[in-house]
Amino acid sequence: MLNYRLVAALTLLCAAVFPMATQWAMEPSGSWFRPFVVWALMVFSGYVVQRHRVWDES
Amino acid sequence: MNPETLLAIIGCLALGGLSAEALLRLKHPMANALILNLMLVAGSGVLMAMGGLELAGRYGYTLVIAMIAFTLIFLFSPLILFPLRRLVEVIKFATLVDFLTFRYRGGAVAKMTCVCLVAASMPLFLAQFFALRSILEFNLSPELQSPTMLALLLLIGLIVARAVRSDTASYLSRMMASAGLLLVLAMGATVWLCIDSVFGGVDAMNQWVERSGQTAILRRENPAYSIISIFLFASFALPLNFNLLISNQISDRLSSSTAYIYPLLTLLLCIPVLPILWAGSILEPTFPPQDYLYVLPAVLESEIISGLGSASILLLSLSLLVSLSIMLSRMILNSFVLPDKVFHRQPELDKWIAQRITLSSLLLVVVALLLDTIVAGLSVTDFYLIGFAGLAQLTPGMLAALYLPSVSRRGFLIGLSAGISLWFATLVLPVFSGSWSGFEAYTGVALGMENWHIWSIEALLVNILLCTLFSSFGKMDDEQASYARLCMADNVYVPARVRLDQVSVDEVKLSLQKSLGDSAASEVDSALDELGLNASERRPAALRQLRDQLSASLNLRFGVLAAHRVMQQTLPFRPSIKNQPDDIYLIESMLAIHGGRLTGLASELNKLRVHHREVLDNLPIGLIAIAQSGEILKWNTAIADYTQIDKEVAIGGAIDELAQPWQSFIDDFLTADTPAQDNVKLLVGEQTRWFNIQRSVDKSQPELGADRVLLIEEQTQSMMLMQSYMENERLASIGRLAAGVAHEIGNPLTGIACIAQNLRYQREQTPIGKSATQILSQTDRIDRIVKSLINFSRGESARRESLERVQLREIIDEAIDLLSLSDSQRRVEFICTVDPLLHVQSDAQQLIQVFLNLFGNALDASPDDDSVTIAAESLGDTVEVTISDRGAGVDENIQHRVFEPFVTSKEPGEGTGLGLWVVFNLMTDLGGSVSLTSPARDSDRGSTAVMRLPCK
Repeated sequence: MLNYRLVAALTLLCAAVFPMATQWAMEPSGSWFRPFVVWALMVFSGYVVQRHRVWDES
Repeated sequence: MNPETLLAIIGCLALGGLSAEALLRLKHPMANALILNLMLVAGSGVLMAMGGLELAGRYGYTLVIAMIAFTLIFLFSPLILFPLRRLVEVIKFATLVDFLTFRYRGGAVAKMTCVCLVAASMPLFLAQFFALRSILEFNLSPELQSPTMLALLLLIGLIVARAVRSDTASYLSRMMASAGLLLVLAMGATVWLCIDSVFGGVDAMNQWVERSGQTAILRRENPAYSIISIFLFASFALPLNFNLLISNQISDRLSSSTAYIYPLLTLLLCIPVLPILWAGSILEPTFPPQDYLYVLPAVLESEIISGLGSASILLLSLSLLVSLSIMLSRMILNSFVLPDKVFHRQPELDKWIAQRITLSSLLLVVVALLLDTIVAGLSVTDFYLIGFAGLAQLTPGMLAALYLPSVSRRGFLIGLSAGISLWFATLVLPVFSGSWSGFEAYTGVALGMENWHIWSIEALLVNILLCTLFSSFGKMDDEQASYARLCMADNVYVPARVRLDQVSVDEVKLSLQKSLGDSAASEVDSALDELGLNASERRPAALRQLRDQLSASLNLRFGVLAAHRVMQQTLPFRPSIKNQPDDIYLIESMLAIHGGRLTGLASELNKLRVHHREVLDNLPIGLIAIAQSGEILKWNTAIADYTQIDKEVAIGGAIDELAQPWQSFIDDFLTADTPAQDNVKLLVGEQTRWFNIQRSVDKSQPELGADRVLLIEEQTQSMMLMQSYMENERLASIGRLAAGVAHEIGNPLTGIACIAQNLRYQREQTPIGKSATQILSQTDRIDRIVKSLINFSRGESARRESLERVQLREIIDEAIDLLSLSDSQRRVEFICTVDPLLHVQSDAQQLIQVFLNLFGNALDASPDDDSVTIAAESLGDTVEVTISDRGAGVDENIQHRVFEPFVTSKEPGEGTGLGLWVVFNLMTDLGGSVSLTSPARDSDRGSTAVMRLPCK
């Protein structure tokens, strides 16, 4: 079943965080690896979401 | 040709293969997750190894955003992949085409989707051949390149044949995992070499980046929107991604690891791209950026790392060519060949299918190779961009399948046709024919890769727009609408409660044989194994499950179209003019499994459902819900107790299949036109039981006909109590009659006694006087009998009188006399050894009743010509009376319960089980006690009743 709370949370998170993260990553004075830091944070959030997931098979 | 590099390539290939094998053998969850994600990395072929470098060179940071978009589908797997996996758990799909065919229905969907996928995948094939040619050109002399390419083609043929014959997933997984592993190692080793040798360390590189203004170059304006959108959409429709993630050989937990491990691996592969590119801009080799992975190490004279890069690209290309060609061949077979194939006429069907897949795979590879010789002037990146723009055309239909049930087949087909045609005309044709100058002059926009960012997005927009328009203004038929609802992300698959023509597993096998021939039996057997059912199953619900399992299994073997045809021909559902209700039993079991996933209002409703179900289950009366088809939907605990039929066995079955007498009982009631029947007598085993039964009709869904609810209540105890009451009433009325008769006899008897006394007085010492004496003796006896009857009939009122000192022996004798008046013809002697001087403090009438009951029981238990012994002993304040017989005794199991009502050791109909209960109550009223031991005292059989009566 679709988890509408998750959809809403992800949408809000994207709307709030994406412009801020893009601005920070693309700052002219910033380091070249900043976009990768943003990406790493996204991967970490994916890990956190999956870690708390309850599986039917367990 | 550099022999060291060649040796390094061979060594790295062997090392990659061994490492993947070792990971597979570990069988550890983390190792399995790593293998799956390495396979996904390899699933995009040389995109990262070659295309990524060129993309970064062309578009700077857009590569990073494009690759984030490419992995976003995995990061958001709870929204896209998991709903798909839940559907696939029930309805198995072999390919992406099968999923779309299942959703949008019809052969046209299968054929159209298949053609689009093959066309969009062709540029990916070309990219792999391009990569292979580049590797060969760099590492081999010109005269060796063509023979080596031919050898590689043969190798592809062999691998395809082997992979199709054996278990494709396990065979290809080794190859793809080792390719992914080699790529990770190659990228890591190359970036380390470049930073160390070219820049002299990370800090030095960072300073160089700042000095040379590279960050500004990376941030330059470019068509980022198109690239991000197309990469995002293409990742969804990439056949390898789809097949790997919906595979039923991968658990949900393992597939969830792709949400972070795959994006992490892609991130780790992307980070080295920029340093390698910068090293290349300093070293300025004569090769384009896409070849840097093996060129730069060679320039830096590291043959091993160069070999590692070449080996990874070689293995990535071969993996994608083999796996993609097999998948596309299966799609072609499922869409074009198998839907019309007569399976039962084809000997060795599986082998025939495997041969056709091998042949079409090789054909696809050869066609790609021929195209590769025609196409010129494009890079690996160009091929990927064209291919991804084509694949992206399938994604709107896929997303709509999960989230938009109103999208129709017509909308999907028209949108896809328009999108793919525009893609073909604007991006594919110009590759062969160049841009049409007339078109460019008219529109001001050139066709082909020059304006890829425009045409790719326009094709996608046209697709979405036409799909929306034609879906909005068209109307879907019922079949489409039901499958659209079924595929929805928040839907749970619940099959309708319809019946099959077949009523047993054997009949299912026979029917399936008409289409599948000899393989039908093994197909049914494996489906039964999967479901944990046995071959004797006859319940309609179980047969429906079996049909669904068979359908899923055939979906995997032959594709959705062919499987649907087989099922319709051999195991069709009974036609019905009404909408069929959902399978309540399956809804229950699915909610029991998936209930934990529910949130919010759905979760609360589920709690309410569980509560109501428990209420019904724990009702003290039996409840059965029956569908109009006769199928049992509900069978609560009470009815399971009455019938000794478990609910697991009953639910889903038919009333006709219940054991007797229940089947007749329920069937007769259902056919009778009465709302209720009371006290229906049933012989259950050897026991007679009574039940009340009533029905109510479920009027909540009148359009579905009338499901029925039966309430069944056991009345056996009430009936026995009522019978006992009626018997007591009968005895009481006889008692009252006897009292009246005795009273009426008393008057003439007094007269007779007076006359006899006069006669004896007048004729003393004569024979007549002696006769008068005898008459007086007999009238005395009659008088005593009459007085006893009158006294006994006054029992109820006597009970309320105060206790008095009574002679025990006299009471016992009177009870024996009364018992001898009964119509029993038993020759049993009562031996009374009670001392006539013993007295007890009691009520004579109640005590007589106690003795009557106990003597009666002893008489019934004793064999003929035997005796019952009555003894008494003074124990100070009490007198203990024992009544012993030498009968069969009382069963040990009921000894402790004999004083409870309705407990008897007599045959059914011979005893009510109330006699000893009455004795117990009377003895309690009299301040005494009674107990029973079996065997009797000083004997190995019979029983002894022990009474204790107060004597003071």
